[in-house]
Amino acid sequence: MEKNLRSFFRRSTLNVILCVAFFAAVSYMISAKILNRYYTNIINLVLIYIIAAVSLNLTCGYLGQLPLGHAGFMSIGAYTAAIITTHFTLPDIGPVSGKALLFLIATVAGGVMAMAAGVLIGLPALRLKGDYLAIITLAFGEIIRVLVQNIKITGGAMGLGGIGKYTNFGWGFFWTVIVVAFTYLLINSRHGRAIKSVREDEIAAESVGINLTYYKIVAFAGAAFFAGVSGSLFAHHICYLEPGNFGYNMSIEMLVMVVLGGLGSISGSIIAATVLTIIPEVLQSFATWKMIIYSLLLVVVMIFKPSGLMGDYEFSAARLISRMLRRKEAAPKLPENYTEGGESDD
Amino acid sequence: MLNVTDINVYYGSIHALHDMTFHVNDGEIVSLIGANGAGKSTTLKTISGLLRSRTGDIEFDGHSISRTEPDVIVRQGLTHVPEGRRIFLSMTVEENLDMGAFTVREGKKQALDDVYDRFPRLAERRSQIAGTLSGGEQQMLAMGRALMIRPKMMMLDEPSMGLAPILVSQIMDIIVELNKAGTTILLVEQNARLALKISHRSYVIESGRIVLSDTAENLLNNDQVKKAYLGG
Repeated sequence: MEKNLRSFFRRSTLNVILCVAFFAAVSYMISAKILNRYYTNIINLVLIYIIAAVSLNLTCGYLGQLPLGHAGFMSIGAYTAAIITTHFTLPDIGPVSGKALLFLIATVAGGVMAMAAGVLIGLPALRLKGDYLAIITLAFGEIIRVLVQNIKITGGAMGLGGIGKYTNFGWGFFWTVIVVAFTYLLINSRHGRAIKSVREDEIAAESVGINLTYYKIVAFAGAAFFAGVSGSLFAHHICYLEPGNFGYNMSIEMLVMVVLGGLGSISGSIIAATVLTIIPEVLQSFATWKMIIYSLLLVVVMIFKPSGLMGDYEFSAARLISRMLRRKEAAPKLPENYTEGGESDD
Repeated sequence: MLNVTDINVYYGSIHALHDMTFHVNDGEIVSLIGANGAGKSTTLKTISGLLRSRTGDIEFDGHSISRTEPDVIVRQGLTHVPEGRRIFLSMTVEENLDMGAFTVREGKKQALDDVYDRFPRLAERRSQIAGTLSGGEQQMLAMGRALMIRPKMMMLDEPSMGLAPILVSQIMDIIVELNKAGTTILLVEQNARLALKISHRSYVIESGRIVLSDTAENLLNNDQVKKAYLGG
């Protein structure tokens, strides 16, 4: 127990150090103009999609449901936050800039609104399974889109403009760390085991005394919250919202990221979100071939690795380093029965 | 311990259980026997709260549980080993047992040791993925998982299903041992002879109705039962 705790702290210290180092490196490259505006924009977009994909993985990968309305939650978060930042201002409080504070509040509010919608739709919808849940959430996404198109405060079909460009690498990185830490800690807690057991077998889960509805709602609402957050970042990244931004195409795109990365793998979602956001940019010069290459890639991965790029495996810096150290020690003379350090999870 | 009074259960418009009334006394092994589709599993699912009865009442250990959520029923000490074992296939044996103790916070370690004492095979395979266990071991795991809460009463749905005869008799022996150690048992079996051999009392169910009830001994000698369920 104590050893576990110690190794947990050692690992989390390592993760914190790596996070800070990565953040410092990229921030430096941005401020020193090594990464120009175009690249910075792509990085921010990648972070926004990572937040959305990791949160979707909570319902798809860990809870084992198939929701198709993730864009609907993003839309709620995006509009809520954008309306707040365009209608209110906050004065600077000491060293804290009013704009930043307002953006933080707006983003949290966007997440909370999306979460409320998640609970509302989840209560009836999560009693259904598979195809039915997919269709209900798909319909929900469309309802949100039509609503947004027809009410005044969202700017209707004209769209909502004049949104400040508040999303930067710092905010994107901050929320990415939060969503990854939240998902990781939740999944490895007692509640997380309950959520995973619902995916494994609902009847068995119920027979050992797990409250199905409660845990489904927890996972669904958590995912909706972060979808709302990613929506807010998206809104303040592109600075102009129109209802068409969050159609079901976007929900499908999110689902593709999660499935391609691996259901139930946070690292998988991160990798897939990164790759799938960058590929269309890289292929910009092959405009006509772009979508064909993109689609082919999906087909190929799904044929040869149906469990997704990472399966349900997680990348761990601590494990990687300890394996490298072990290899170095073992290098001079390999024991005869030397085998690749197993896939055991630490 | 368990009193079921006049329950009527429907699947949509299909009337599955008709005015079913029976009881299980403290310390007994009671079995429900009957053909496929007679309503045995439906009865267990209704008691454990997975299905709802439109009428009547179910009383467990002095409390009405007919409107209680399934997880609360488990907390009250009534556990259900569902048909087809239903273990968590991609978790290890120990993780499965750990999930069994989901509703309890104290005494987990002791409960785990007790389960391993009762099922040494599970102890040998504690870190093995449950999906790779044999059928008999999976049944043991399902029972072990249910025992993690130290239940007052255990409901077993077709524990013999799909097992080799030698394993079946092993499982039956374990049920008798558990009962001797103080757990009340409600057993559902298609294999009537097997169930009657270890039960104290038994109810015969046909098309959602109880048609006969008696001590297991009397039922074993009942001509009607012999003809219909024991092969002459």
